Amino acid sequence: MMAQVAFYILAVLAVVSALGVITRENPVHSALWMLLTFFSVAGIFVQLGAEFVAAIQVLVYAGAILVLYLFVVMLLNPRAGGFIRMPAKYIIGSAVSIVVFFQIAITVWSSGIFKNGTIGPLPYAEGMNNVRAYGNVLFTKYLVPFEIASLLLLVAMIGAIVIARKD
Amino acid sequence: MHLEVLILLGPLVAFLINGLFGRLYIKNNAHFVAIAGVGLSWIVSIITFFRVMGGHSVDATLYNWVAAGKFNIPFGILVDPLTAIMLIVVTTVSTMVHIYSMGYMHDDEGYWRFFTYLSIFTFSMLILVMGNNFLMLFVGWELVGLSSYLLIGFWFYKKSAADACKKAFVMNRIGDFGFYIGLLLVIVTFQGLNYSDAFQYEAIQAIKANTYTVFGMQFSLIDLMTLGLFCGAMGKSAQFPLHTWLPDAMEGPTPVSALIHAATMVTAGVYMVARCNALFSEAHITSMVVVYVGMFTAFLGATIGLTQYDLKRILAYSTVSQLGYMIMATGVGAYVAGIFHLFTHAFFKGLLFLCSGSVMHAMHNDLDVRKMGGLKKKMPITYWTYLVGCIAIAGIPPLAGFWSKDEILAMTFANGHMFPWFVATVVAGMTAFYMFRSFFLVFEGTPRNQHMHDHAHESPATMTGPLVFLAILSVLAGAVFGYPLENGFIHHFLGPVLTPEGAHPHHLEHSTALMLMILSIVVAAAGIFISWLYYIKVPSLPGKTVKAFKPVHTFFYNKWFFDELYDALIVFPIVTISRFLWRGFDVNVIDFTVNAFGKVPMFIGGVARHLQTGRMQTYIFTMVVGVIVLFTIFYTV
Amino acid sequence: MELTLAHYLILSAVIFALGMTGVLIRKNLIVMFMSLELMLNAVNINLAAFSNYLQDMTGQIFIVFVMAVAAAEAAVGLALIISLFRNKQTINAEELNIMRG
Repeated sequence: MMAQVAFYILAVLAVVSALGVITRENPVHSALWMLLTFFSVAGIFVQLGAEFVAAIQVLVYAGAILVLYLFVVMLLNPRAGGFIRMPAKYIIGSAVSIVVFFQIAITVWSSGIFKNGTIGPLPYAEGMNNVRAYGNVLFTKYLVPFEIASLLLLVAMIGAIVIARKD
Repeated sequence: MHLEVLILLGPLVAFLINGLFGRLYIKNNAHFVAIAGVGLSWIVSIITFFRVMGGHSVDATLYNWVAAGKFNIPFGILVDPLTAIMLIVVTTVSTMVHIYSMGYMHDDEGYWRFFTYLSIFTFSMLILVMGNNFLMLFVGWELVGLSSYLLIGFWFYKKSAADACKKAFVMNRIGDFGFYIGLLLVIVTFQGLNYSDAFQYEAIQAIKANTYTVFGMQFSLIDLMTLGLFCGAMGKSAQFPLHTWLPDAMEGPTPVSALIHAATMVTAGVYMVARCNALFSEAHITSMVVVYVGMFTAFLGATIGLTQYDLKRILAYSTVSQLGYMIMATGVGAYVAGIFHLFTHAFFKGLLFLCSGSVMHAMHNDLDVRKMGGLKKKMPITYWTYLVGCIAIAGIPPLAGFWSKDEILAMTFANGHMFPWFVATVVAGMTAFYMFRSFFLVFEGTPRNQHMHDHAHESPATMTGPLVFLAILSVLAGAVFGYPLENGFIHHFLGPVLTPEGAHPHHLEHSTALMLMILSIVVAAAGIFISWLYYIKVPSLPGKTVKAFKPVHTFFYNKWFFDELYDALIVFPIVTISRFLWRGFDVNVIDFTVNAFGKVPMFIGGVARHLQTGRMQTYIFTMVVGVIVLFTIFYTV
Repeated sequence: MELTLAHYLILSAVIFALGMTGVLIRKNLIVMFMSLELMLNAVNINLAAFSNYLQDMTGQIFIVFVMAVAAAEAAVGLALIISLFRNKQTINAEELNIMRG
């Protein structure tokens, strides 16, 4: 019962804060709403038994990426943060998104997992927990992709420096 | 390594050095390089000549140029008596012309360029005569054509020179088309390009019976082959009907006229026919064609030469006429006589041209003989050397022209070609007449243009030196090489290579030969005498004669209207059709179609470009709609 | 009602749709980027939910990879925005239309 309550609270928080992100005229406000979204999603992760990912979510997303966004927003201080001018496009854009949502929802509904897709704590072997199990998989089976990801980040870092540099 | 390779390398290296560094570094010292190159060739050629006399010969492949399966094109040289004679002619005249040009081209802005072209010409001509296969011959053939083009158009800013070089090129191209066909027939027939493949007596006998039907007429293979090759000779040696380019080529500098358009390049056709004597002697139809083309050309050149006033043109038509002699000689099977005439002609005609250059130098580039006269005192060296040249070409013994020309006449007679013999004899008289006409008009009598006469002066030593040298050769070359008639040195020397197997040369009775000799001397003397009568004794006679034979004179004076005829028959229709194709077809049909292919995409693009709004959100929107559509299709189906 | 996989999937779909809406209707490039992050987060929820459902760690591994890509994308994207702003004095997506046909 506790799990349901927690889920619904987190879900509502996430949706509301996401709405906040896309409706606030001031980009700083959007960013702050997004902080709330990230925390809610971290809570969802905890509920799904992915504690390590939840921690990463808070540390990397909320701690690093969002701060980067805030930095840029403050640095540029753009005058116009508003919406596209024509209301017709506003409505059409929302409508398209709703169609996408319903397509996904119908797919999920008709797949039958609405009733049978059970969610619960993951069973770990003796002496194992989420972080250990996670590390076991990441540094054995996914070692090469992991290294490649580090390379990607390096490239992104150099690229960002080169692009944003004053010349 | 063969010593003879040096002959080729000399001019080639000179050409490369002058061509690469001439404009910036060598400039007015270009003659050192060029003369060093050609001088080396000359010396080695003389050495080679004496070695060949001693029985030396070379037929070597230097390297294999093209190898495709069984088909090979070697880059090889052949040195035999015929080549040795040609080497002597080419390098001697070339060296003299090089030295002469130092004086003649002295102040020209293209000094280095001139010597560069002379070097490449000499190299090309040597390739032509030294190659041991048909392709080398062809390469040399085209290279001399190119250098001739460059040198005729040396003063390319003069429209007449630019036109003349184009004309020479195009006329040669027509001949070369036939040459190329002949060459391909040789390759296909003999499965090889080497002279040694093609000139096998057995191989020629084996294909003798092969015939082809062309335009409904039966030709033997060998006739077709040689006719094709002879087409090339007609272009290069300025034979009727392709002779019109040679007189126009006089637009080039005079040393060039002497070297290329009198002594060497134009004789390439004669050389080629003589080289292919094994083929030509078996081709009876071609031989007839060769005889009559040669005869007619000789007559044509002489008649036009009678009436011209431009000194260089007189010499040019005389060259056409003499080339006709040589070709005729090869046609009747007298290859030795043809090459002998080529040999002597090179010296005295080179000499005459260089003299005309000297006169031109003195008269400030005016060549109209009507304005000259009385130059004897002003230019003694030119006077005497020109006289030697005139006597030589007229055929008065013991100068060079007599020996070779008389032999051609005798051989024509001996082989039973009575009509060509008769025409050639008449032409000999005409030659004597018009050569002395030019001589009397230029050097004897009184000055007709006092102003120009006053400014006339003898040319510098660099120009008179070669004149004297060539004059000595013109005096001696005939007697030394050709005495006694039909049994001289040159006959023993060239006989082995120029007597085709299976040929039965006719020989004249001794008394008949003597009669013919006296007849030809009489005809030549008569020509000189009439000339003297007309232009020294009774100066009013020429005018009266012209009046009496007005239509004939007009006809000859206008060069038988060949240029006009070609314009009307070939140039005009082609230009008209081309203009129609350009304005009518090309613009309206082809360009229209091509433009339509361009305009349709432009129209579609003009409509479609509005899809590109440049707004990011539109693109994302379109993409999302696409995803929805795809999702729907794949999910529902 | 017992929590099932579908709950999480629907939640993720909602956030995804909201993120897409943000990309489509906002004209501030930075906010568009933030909306993109929302979409990525929705995907992450999806991955975590399936990881739990399938009892497989791979889903969670992929979340980290998605985060790495998101971080890279944010770094480069924001650098681009800074460069753009320096040259054009604007980050309004509607005014950046020099690619118009």
